[in-house]
Amino acid sequence: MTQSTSQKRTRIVIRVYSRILILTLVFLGVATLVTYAQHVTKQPDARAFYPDDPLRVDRDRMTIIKPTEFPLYKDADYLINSFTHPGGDAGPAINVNSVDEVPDSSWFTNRIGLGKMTIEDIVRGPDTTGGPAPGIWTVVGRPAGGITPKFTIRDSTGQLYIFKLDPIHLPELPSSVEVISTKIFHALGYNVPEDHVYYIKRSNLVVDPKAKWTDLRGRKRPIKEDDVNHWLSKMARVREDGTVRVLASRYVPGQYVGEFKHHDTRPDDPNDIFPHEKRRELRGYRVFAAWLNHDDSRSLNTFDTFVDEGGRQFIKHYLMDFGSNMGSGSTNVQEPRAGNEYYADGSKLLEGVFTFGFWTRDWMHVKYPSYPAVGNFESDFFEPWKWVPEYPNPAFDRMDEADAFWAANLLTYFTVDVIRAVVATGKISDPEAEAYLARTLIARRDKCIRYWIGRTNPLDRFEVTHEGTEVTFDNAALRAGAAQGKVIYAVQWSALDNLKNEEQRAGDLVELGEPRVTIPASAWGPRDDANYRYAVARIGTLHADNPQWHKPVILTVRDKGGVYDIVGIQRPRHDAKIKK
Amino acid sequence: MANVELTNRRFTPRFILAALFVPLLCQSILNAQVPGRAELLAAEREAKIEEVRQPERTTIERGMRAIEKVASTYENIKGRDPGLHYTTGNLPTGSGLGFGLGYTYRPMTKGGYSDPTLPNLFEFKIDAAYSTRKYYEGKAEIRLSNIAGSIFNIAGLAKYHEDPQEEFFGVGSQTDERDRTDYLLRAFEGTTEAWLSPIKGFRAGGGATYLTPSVGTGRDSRFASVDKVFDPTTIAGFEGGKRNFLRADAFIEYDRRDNPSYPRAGTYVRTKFSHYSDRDVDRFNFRRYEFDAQQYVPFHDGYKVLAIASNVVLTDTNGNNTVPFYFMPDLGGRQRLRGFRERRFRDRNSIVATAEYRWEAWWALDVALFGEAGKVAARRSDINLKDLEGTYGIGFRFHSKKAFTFRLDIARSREGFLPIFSAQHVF
Repeated sequence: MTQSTSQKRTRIVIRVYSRILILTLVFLGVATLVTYAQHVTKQPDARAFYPDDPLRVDRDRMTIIKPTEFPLYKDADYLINSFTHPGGDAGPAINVNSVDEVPDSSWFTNRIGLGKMTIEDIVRGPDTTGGPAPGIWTVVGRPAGGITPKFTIRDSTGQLYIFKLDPIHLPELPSSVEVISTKIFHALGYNVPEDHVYYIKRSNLVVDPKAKWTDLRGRKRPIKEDDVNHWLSKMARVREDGTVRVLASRYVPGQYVGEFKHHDTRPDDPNDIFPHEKRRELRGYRVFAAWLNHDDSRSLNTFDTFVDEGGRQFIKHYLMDFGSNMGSGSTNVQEPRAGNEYYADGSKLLEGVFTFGFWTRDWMHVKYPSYPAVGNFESDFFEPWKWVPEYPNPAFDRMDEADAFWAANLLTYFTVDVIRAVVATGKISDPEAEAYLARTLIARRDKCIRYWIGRTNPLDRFEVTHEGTEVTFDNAALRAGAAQGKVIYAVQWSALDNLKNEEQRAGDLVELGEPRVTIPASAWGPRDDANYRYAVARIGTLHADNPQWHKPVILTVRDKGGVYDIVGIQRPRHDAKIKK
Repeated sequence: MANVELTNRRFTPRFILAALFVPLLCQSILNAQVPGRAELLAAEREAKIEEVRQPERTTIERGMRAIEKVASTYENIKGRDPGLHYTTGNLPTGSGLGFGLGYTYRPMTKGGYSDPTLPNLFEFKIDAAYSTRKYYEGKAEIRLSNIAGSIFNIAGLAKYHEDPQEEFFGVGSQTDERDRTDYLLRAFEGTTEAWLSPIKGFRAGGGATYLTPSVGTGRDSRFASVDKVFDPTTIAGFEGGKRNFLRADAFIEYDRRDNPSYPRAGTYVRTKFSHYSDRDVDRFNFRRYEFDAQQYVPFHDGYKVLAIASNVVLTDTNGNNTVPFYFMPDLGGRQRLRGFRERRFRDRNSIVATAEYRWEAWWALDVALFGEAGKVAARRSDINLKDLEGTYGIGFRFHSKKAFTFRLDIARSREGFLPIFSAQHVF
């Protein structure tokens, strides 16, 4: 009995422990499966869309180790870009999300394109202050580099500003274009410094005894009160009220780590994974630069700064130095060549030499207005597709139709009222000059939109309505007045198996006179592992004047269990021609 | 027993529940692991952390950096002006590459800044230079401008130079290119000068110079010295060793060129009268008259320029006096009648006219087609448009946005082609 009881207990213990063992093994197996699943799901697969598409934010603000300062060399940058054509192939922009938009990042923040900026927002721009705080400003240095006369001050709150002086013969030109440009580029979405047109009095300035600069003889020496007297009296125009107009540019926060190139990535920045020449915002920058005649849109006028935001330390990318914009050449009016011909253009050089002057560049004969506050800026001769910066920009060279559409579409948000309000921030004293500048910007904007918005099928503003049974859209070119006339939309639906990225044609091609199309039930593909299903429409646009619109926009609609959204927009494009 | 049954009863339902729960748990976990694009991008960034490396300079960057260092070193060696600095001197054309040291003292005024409108601007310069063709000079110069805020200015110059390979082909227009010889010229010059600038672009003034030229055997090993080919007694001023001259000058100048270092528009006119007084033998007294005119006519919105220049030099003497050969005007070389060698023609009088059609081929390069005609003559009455020597050619003028940098001219004359490289603008 004792033995029998003991044996039974032993058997029971064995059974209990064996079941615990089995259970443990089952859990271990599940854990392994889960771990494997986690591993597998981090690998790219064939799927067309991910559940978090379209990404509105590219989380490129991961904390990194502070990179070392790596300044670009001016002359090398010119040579490399002029003669070696750096960067990779000319494929499509790869930092766009699945609806062909640029997500917010350390490079770009969607602003005016969201359609929610008021004129006041745009005019405020990047400004977080009203400029240097009132009181006595202390001159603490004079930055080297650049061609604009300038010096650094610290205001009464300890904020640092660079005071850039307008040339004595052009007392408003560079400062106005710089302020106007920062407002525009900020509204577009770029990071730019905070700039103010400011009127200063000599009596507000004192010199820090420790302040030094490199003088005209190349010697590093202390800044004296007489130096400031000279800068303000001989290098800038003193107004009747004794003030001097300056551009007060607030120091960009963070620590300078270099400039960003318009090609390749920075190898010491783990956040920087998209080759710069394939960044949509750097390609589309060409459209904005053409609009504003920003011929100095090169890497040397960028600024990478190591910032601490929200507890994360990362590199933030700025555009800056817009003094050579529109009709300004920083220290003089813009050269007529600017925007029309590269510094080094071998074929033009040979033509120039061997035609003995009988052939001349057409830009040589452009007549400019005589407004000193505007300089050499006009809109009649300007052709967006002909415009070039000072020397080749790898991102500009790779801009394709889809990039151009994105940029031109953003320009449509700069209404006449917006442009006039932004121009007013330049504080140009001559009302006629100010009006001319606004008119010219409006005319150039129109030309940019007209040319670039219609290079590809310009369908836009897609929305799923009527509980997932209908899609509406518009034609951006028609909306912007860049094209007129009757259009017909040819739509072909197909069902998408998202996991396999395979489509099954659903129904026949339908032609519509209105930008509104019903989603047939047969267009929905099988549900994927997130329980979502997808329908794809290829929408071509038939328009007599624009045969290139016939190539369809590929639109993907998603059903998230009764909630419908647009998850994919693929715009037709051609590879840009890269000079070799 | 009861305990065992209890155990069994308690264990079995839990096991069954667990067995049912595990697959459900697995399914829900797997569903939650549907991949996200943000996650993929994050993984890519994490992967890059492993590959982080310092940016590297390209070959071009390294090359440019090396050039910058050389340039920086040169700048340091070159020094500052004002201050101690490297100089190429002011040696005559054809003297080869010059190098030397200079020192300029230009006290900064009003807070350490030069301002040409300020009164009593003072400058002192001293330099010495030597060239690859063994020319050398030492020079000291002092200048005081806007005296007491007025339109008056004064300057003084002391200079000693030796030019050991000056070309000589004979005197007159009928000389032979094959008679190329050379001679040595050394001289001390002491000059005082005063002028006034009542309006912008206009200057008038005069001065006095003491000169001590002496001529010797040429040192160019490629050519014979003058005295080996020509009869020295037939060359005025060749013999007699060092001579002493006193020269009195007067000049008027009108300069309305847009940019004197590289003009594209405007006018320049200058006339100068000099009287040379031989302080030794009263044999080489003469007067010299020089007329210089330049006109720049821009057209085609200023991208083309028609540039015209003329230069006439006349001399005259009294009685048996004559003009020493080394003070005679000459033609040929980098500046005038470029198709002929340096100082190819010389005589008591000269005339030359140049026309250039310049066009902007590139923002930093102008190209010019040019033609020149001129001659030298013993008599003033022969200074006319007959029997002119002609040259023509093409020039490439490199410049920055504001200033001339260098030029390469290719000129042709009856004596053949001559390439000319010069850092001095032709006019």
